[in-house]
Amino acid sequence: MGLTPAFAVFGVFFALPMAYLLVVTFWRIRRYRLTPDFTFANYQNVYGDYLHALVFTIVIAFVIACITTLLAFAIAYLIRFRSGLFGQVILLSALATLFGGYLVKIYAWKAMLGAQGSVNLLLITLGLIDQPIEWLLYSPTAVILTLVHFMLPFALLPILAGLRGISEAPLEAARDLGAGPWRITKDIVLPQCRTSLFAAFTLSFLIPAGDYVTPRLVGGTETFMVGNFIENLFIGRMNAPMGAALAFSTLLACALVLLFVNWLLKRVFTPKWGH
Amino acid sequence: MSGPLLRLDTISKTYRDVTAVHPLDLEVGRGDFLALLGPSGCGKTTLLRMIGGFLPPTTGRVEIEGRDVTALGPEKRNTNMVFQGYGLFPHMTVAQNIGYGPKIAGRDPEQIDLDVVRMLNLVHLNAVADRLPAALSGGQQQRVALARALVMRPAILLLDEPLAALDLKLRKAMQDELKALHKAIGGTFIFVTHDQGEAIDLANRIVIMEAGRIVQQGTPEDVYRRPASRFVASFVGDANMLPARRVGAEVAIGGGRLPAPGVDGDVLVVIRPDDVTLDATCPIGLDGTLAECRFMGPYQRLTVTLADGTQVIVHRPSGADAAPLPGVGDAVRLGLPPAACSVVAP
Repeated sequence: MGLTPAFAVFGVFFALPMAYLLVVTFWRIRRYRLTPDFTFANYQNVYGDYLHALVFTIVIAFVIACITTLLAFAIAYLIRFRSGLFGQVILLSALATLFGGYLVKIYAWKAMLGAQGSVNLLLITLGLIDQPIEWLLYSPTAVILTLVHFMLPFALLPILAGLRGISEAPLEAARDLGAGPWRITKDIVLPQCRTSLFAAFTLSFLIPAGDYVTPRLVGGTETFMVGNFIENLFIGRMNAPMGAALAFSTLLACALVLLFVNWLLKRVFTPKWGH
Repeated sequence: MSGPLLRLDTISKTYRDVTAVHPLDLEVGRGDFLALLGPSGCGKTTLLRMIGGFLPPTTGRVEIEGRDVTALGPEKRNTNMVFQGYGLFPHMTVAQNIGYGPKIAGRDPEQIDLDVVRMLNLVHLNAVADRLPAALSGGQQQRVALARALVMRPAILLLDEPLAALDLKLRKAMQDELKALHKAIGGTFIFVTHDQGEAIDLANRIVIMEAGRIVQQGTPEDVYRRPASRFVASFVGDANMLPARRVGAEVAIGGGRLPAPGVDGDVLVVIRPDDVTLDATCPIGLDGTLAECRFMGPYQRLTVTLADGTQVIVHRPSGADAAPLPGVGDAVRLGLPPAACSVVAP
């Protein structure tokens, strides 16, 4: 009963529009008008024309999510176990980046990664390279860097909450039984924050997978992610059925990846030995 | 091997300007079941954690089996700890919890299985070997923690308030079980408790701590019958404390004299309620009036008010053959057997 308002909001603002969009994927455009139909042609066209973009997007989002989750875990681990009071400073400085807007961050990276950017200047000044590295900006690398940086605080919070939920006694018990820091992390800490690792991974996978601003601004002319194509189908080509079909295909692909990652985490972090 | 199993040499722990444990020495022999007893904040857990290697001592040395282990962490010491709240691994089954230590130690997998089964038998947990800790009762979790530590065959088993989280009935049952376990494996146990009844029941040696210092150690009977201080007398069991004066190494009380070496001055004569008698022929006798009489089940609890207003508690068996009692308000004469009296500083 208490959840009724929440369900109502969820239904009206999420489930219903999604259902409508799903229905639209089976419609077609006839004389520039959206016409009800029941055709799989949109899906066929999507797999013909946009499969490469879909795969590329999933791979890039997967890489971003992996890097982000690993980094976030490392930082959260430092904050929780190694830094004492200094941990609060690390946390604050990580969260402070949330004050900078999304676009501000993208332009900041643009300024840093360009041929005349601070990264290249630094490397040249240090004498590590002679020529500026061209592929730093306007490349998949730039998209990955920018989105990892953007997602990091969002991934940090659930993992930190997960780590804070782990009580001290099992860690001391593991040490008492002879386990070193690495074994304790692997055998005791990671399995206990599995769900928060998955939450962090999900966030830092889904948001980049749906992003179409970052690739346009720092991805260059070659890096198009599926979001760019969906935007183009809806707005540029006025083809809502195909845009919706591509969106739902992306949704399905993302769901499959997340199911797989969840299964993998469960498998890796559930101890199998003995009996 | 000769010499004590564990030797603490002028060991202390100071946090900034707070001293948790003042420099102290302690020796624990092989096969001992030792209780570190004291109120909360007395430094007993700090001491236990220094023995286990979880806290580096500020000064002093820890020797186990003649070897200096002061600089070694818990993973390198031949001790294992049963933690307060148990610290079980929530994502591992009972069997995996028990087998984790042997696995880390690199024991042969078949040997690990045998060890785990042996431990499951020892603590009667075969039926729940494949359950997760969350599916166990408090007593079962306690036994998993015990088995997980004992499977390592530690030279010393450390237990931090092992029974504190259990309800009274379960605590009694676990006390019996711990005692039986100690007997069965013949190990050396050191446990921390604030419960004097638990310490008296389980331990063969009690070390009583107060404010970071050892104030008395000995057998349960020693510390109960011969408390060395007012603190020990009041902390371990019930005690009557009668103010008196010491003159020339003797204390005069109730028409008798107690030998009590020490400087002249005010002292307290300590006697347990169950040692006070209503026997008028006793060499030390105190006159008073019976103020209250309560039936407590196995015994009766009498409150006698002396002439100077001091109240003395007397426990007498409430069995059928107990002598008839005087009525409330009647004059009574209390007998204090000299052997049952201790003299402590006020």
